[in-house]
Amino acid sequence: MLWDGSAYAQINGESQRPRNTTPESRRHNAEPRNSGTKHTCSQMCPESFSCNTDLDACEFPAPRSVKLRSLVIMKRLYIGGLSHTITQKDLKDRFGKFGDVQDVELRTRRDDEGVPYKTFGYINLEITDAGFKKCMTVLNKSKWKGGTIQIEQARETFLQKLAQERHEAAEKIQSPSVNHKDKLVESMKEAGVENFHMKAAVPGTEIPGHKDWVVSKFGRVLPVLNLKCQGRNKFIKYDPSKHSHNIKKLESSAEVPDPTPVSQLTWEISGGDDDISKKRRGEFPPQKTPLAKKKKDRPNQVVANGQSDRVKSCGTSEKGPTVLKSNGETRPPTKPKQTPASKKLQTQTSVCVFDSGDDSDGDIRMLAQRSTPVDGPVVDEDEDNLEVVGDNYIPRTFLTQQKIKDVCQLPGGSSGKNEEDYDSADTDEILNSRKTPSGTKQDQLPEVSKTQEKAEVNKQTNNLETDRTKEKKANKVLPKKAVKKVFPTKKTPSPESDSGDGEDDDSKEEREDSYSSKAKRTYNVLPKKKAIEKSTTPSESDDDDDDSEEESDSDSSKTQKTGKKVVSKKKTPTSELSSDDSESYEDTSEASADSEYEAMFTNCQRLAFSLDDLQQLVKESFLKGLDRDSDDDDPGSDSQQPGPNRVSEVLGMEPRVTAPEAPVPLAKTGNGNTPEEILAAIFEEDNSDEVREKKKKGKKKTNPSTSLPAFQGTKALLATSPQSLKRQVEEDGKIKTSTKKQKRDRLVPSKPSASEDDAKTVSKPSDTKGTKTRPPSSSDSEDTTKSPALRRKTTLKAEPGKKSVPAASSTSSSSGCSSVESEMEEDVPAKKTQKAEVSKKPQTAGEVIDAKQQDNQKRLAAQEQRQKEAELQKKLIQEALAKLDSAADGKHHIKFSSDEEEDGDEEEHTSPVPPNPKKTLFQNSQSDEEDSSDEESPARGKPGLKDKEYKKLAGSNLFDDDDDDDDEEEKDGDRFQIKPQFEGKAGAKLMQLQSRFGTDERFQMDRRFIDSDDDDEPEMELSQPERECELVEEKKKSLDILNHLLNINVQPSDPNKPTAKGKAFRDISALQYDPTKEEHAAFETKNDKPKKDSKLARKKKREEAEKLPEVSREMYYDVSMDLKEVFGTSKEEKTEEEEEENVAWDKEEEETSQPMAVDPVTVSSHLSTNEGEASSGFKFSFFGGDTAADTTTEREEYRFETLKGAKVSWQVDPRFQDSSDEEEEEEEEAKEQTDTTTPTAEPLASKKAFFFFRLDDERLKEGPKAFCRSSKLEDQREMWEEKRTGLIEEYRKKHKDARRKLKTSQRN
Amino acid sequence: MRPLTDDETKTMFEKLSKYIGENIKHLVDRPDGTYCFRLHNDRVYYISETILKLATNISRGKLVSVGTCFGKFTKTIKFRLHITALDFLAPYAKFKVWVKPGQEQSFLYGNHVLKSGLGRITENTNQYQGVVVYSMADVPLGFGVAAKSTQECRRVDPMSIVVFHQADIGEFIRSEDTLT
Repeated sequence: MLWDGSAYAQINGESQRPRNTTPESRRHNAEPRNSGTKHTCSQMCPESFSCNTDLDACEFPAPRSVKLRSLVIMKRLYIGGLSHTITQKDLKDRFGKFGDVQDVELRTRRDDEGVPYKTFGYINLEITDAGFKKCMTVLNKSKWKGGTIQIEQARETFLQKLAQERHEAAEKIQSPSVNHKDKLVESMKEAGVENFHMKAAVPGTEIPGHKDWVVSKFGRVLPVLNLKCQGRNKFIKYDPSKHSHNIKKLESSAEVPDPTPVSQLTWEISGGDDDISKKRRGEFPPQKTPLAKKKKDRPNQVVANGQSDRVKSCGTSEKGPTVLKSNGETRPPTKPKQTPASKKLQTQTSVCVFDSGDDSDGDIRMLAQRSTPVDGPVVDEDEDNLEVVGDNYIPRTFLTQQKIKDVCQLPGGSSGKNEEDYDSADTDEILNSRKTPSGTKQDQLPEVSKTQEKAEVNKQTNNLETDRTKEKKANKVLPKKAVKKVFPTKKTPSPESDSGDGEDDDSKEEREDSYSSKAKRTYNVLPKKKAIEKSTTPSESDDDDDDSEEESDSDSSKTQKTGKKVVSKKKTPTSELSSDDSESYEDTSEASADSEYEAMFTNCQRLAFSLDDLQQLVKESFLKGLDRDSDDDDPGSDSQQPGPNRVSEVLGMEPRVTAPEAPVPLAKTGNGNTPEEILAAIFEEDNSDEVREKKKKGKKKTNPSTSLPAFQGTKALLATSPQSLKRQVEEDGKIKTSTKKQKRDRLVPSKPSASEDDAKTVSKPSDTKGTKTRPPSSSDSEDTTKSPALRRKTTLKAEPGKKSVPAASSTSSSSGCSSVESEMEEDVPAKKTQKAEVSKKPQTAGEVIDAKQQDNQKRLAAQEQRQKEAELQKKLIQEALAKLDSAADGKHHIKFSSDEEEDGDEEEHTSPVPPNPKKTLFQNSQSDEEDSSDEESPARGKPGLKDKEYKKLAGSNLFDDDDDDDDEEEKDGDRFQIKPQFEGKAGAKLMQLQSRFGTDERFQMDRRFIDSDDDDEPEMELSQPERECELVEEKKKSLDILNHLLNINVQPSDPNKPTAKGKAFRDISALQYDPTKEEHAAFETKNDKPKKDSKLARKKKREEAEKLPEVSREMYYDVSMDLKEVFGTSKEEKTEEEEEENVAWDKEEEETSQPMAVDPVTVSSHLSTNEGEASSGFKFSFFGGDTAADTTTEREEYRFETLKGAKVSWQVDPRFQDSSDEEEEEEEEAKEQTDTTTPTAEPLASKKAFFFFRLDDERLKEGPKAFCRSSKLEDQREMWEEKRTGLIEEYRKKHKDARRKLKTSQRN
Repeated sequence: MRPLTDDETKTMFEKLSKYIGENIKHLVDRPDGTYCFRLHNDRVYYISETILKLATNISRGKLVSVGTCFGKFTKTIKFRLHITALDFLAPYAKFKVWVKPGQEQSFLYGNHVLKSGLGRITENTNQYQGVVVYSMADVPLGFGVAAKSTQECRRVDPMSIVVFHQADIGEFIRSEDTLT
């Protein structure tokens, strides 16, 4: 039973059929095989010998080569060892001699690189045996085209095989398969075998005629079998006769009436109607399509049912076949095939594990039950979740994470928010750890913090900042550099600060800024330009002010400052402000944070006003202030102050405005009893702040916030002052105010006019912190001292309405206010009315009115700010990067300046003369002259305070000079910069040398002192690239290895070419052409195509270009010759005229130059004047020591005129042509020399050798003539007209002549 | 510290290529700077040029580690990747295996990845292909070798090993002393 399926029987070692056997012989051969198979069958069911019927099924395929005509056979030959160049035709020709070539098939094997390494072919050849032999002998192993031909017989192509098989199948059907059996039986019968039984035959006897048939026990005739061992190639001859001893004859066998052939054996199993038996019979209930969707949707829940179902189905489906095959057999765990795509199948497979070997339904069910509750869900889930992912799978989460990271890394608002969050934690460590705290950031980017929460945060940050500043204070000395650097930035903010001032001052009138107004209502009365601004709807804050005590006043002042800050775009103040407000004024506290917020934004909008507007405002206010003052009912000292004073005040107020957080510094500066100390502390703070800002911001010129830090100090001072300093301030207040005014005056006059650029004036004060800081403090103090009265006045003012209450103008500031108000009225009547209305109402009313507008404004402002924010961020980054170096420089300067300043302070104390006495004095005098009113001010009037005043002046000057100091300090900075000769390594050596001699000037080290033989340096430099080379080589090597390893082609990228750059995505649609960018040159359509020309072509062209001018010259000569001939007669006349003209010109020269020239002597002689003029023209480089230097400067005007004349004299064209004809000169020369004569030209030629002019250069003498009018215009005109007539006549004549000539020539 | 010999380079690249294939070239030829492999104490370090220069200041005996350790050469001159190389393998990995959250810990404790813990796998992963193991949140956890091909992974029972563990980031803690 072993060899049912796997055993392979072969008979008698007839393993190979001869190919070219005739059908008869093949049939003969086939016979025994058939019998063999029959035998196997019989052995499978030994009882029935009559299982002949399935011989067909067992039969081997019939012989293949069918085509046989006489002797010609179709052969398929393999031809190997061909050269790669051989074609099918070659083969055909070659083998055509031996037979009829039916088909040629050529194949070439190629390796991975496509190089053929083997070529062979198959040929279908109709050939006779002899022919084939001949062919083999002739062609086999012969050399053909570089290859040794190998010829073998090949199997038929599969097509042929297929065709043959079909053919044979058809044949077989025609010829009944019974034939073989019958024949066998027949032939056996001849040998005495009946029905495979041979009676009375000894077992083991061969049947005559049938070699392979043996008689076995009971006379049965059985075939001898050749059995192939399993796994081995040996064949075992199985002689049934030798193994037949144990066979018993079954009686019943005889009874089998009709042995059914094996092929007809059915596998039918009779059974009951139950499921299993049905299934065993192969009858399956209609299969349910598994609930794929359900499962997918809720794998966990469905698991129980679905699994059981699945299990069943699996079990049944697999059971069927297995049962059919063998009943008792235990199945190995079957792995059903899955289509990877369907998940359902996957799940099935996972479950299938359980049904291995279990046939019964009960078991399966049990399994299902077991699996479902316990581990079913888990496993199932797992199975369900198994994903297979493509190579290009990109994890989504990963991407998103990255994005988030990127966002976080952006320095933009998001980070800012985070930072804010951090800030909320009040720890200093956080601040310290983070170099750029949100506070500063917010300062820089005020727009960021728009929401109230942010404002609060800002508050905190402010506190933090102050802490920080405190810390830094100790360490940092006043850095002047920082100040300097900030200056430019401040310039822009200053106008804003002005506006802020205006607001503050106007606060009485303009109450729209509910928050600031309350705080502001206060003392500072300054002419406001802002009043004119529409956004400000006047609101009366004054009423509130009055009640507040002094403390509250101080607070208010602080708040004011903060408010100003806000104006200048600091967020921090708002918070402070709000807090302060709440503290000081409960009634005003209604002004909600929103209102403040809005106010902030309104302020921001105001900032958008152009400088020009501000300037205009200032001017107007100034003028008006003058008028006002004169008109003012109150004859107070202030009223007498002239306009400029007020302006100066306005300017002065700005610093105050900028003052930042008051309270904290106050608390910190415990020692600040004296204003100076406080100031110093403040300065330090400021500086530190500035430095910080610088570091972080870089330049924020556009950003107004930069100016803020500078002002912090003042604010602090103010804040501190109110309590501790109040007394002092009160005492000094008047003096200070006066001084302050003076300073301001100074500032203003320093500019040509008070009405000059507002921005400039403003910028100056803002720049000079020192001056400002002090004056504000003083003013504040003054304000505080005066506060009670003033307040009352202001309140009065406020209540009646606008500036209609001139009483308020008792103080200068108040007067300014009033003036501004008047301005407002005049300029914007509508607004005035509005203001009036609003002013009557309390703040809240103003809010209500503008609620909607403000909302809208808020929104707009938010948008704007967002944009600005983005821009600012960009800028900040850029600038910060760009300024890294400069910042380092700044530190130097800061230290230096701070020292200086401290000294200055000391000096102030000791000596009344400021460090820069000259300038200050000068300015002072100017200011004094201009502002008489200043002197009249009470403070000034006090003689005892003069010292202080002076001091202030000095200080102010000190700080005023900051602008100038900028230059100086830059020079200082230069001092610290490495001098060019000390740069580099060689420079360092030189430096060492120099250090040996100290600063002795006699031993100044020069470049020449550098040893020329420092070889080590270049060596060092060389080693660097060498190493790089090594690395590059290493890289190459490793890439090579990689190439070998992976069979890929990796080329080292060019290190100079950043590959990432190329990959960077660019939105072309967003691209804008920027002519300044080099990259964008690609977008330009270039007109010059010749660039593409090869070198040769270029050379040729160059040569041509070189040749061309020569050619043209010749042409030129020819033409000139012609002209000469043509105009030969006229030339003489002209030269005469020229001579005349020359004379006339000389005279003219004298005439014209005499009145103009300062020095008549120089003019007297033609040459000398020329020289002088010439020298004036060119002196600057070549005739530095010329005596005419003095005169030249004054003669510039003259030169101007002469130039004009020259233009006119240019009319004399023909002359010029003539002169140029004679010598080729540079065009300039030709132009200048309108009257060149041969004698002058000769020296010129000789002098051409000199590159520069010489002192007595002919050209210099003649040049000026071209610029001078040689004669009077009328004369010239007359002459010209005369000449013209002559010329016309001449021309006509010549024309006629020419015509005539032409005619004659034509006739001829 | 010295550059790798050709043989060493080859061995190492062969190993690396099991995980990142031809992406090695991105390691060797980086656009953002020059990077190189250096052998020190039988360990291969992947160093940027700048750090390499700095490292020259430290004597060989004192130099514990420089750059990123990719792995070490065993005594039999085979190359063994260390978990420290994961940072460079993960971005370039060609074949990845995602581990379910439940089995993350198991893997991080040094166990193989079982079928039950296999959440996702790159298609066409061959048997014994080097794979980088990720958590389902796409955090690279380590690397290993695929014990079964993707096709086989579908069929095998849940408790069979799918990925052989080679290194995981748990080693940063477990073998802190040996990792350099």
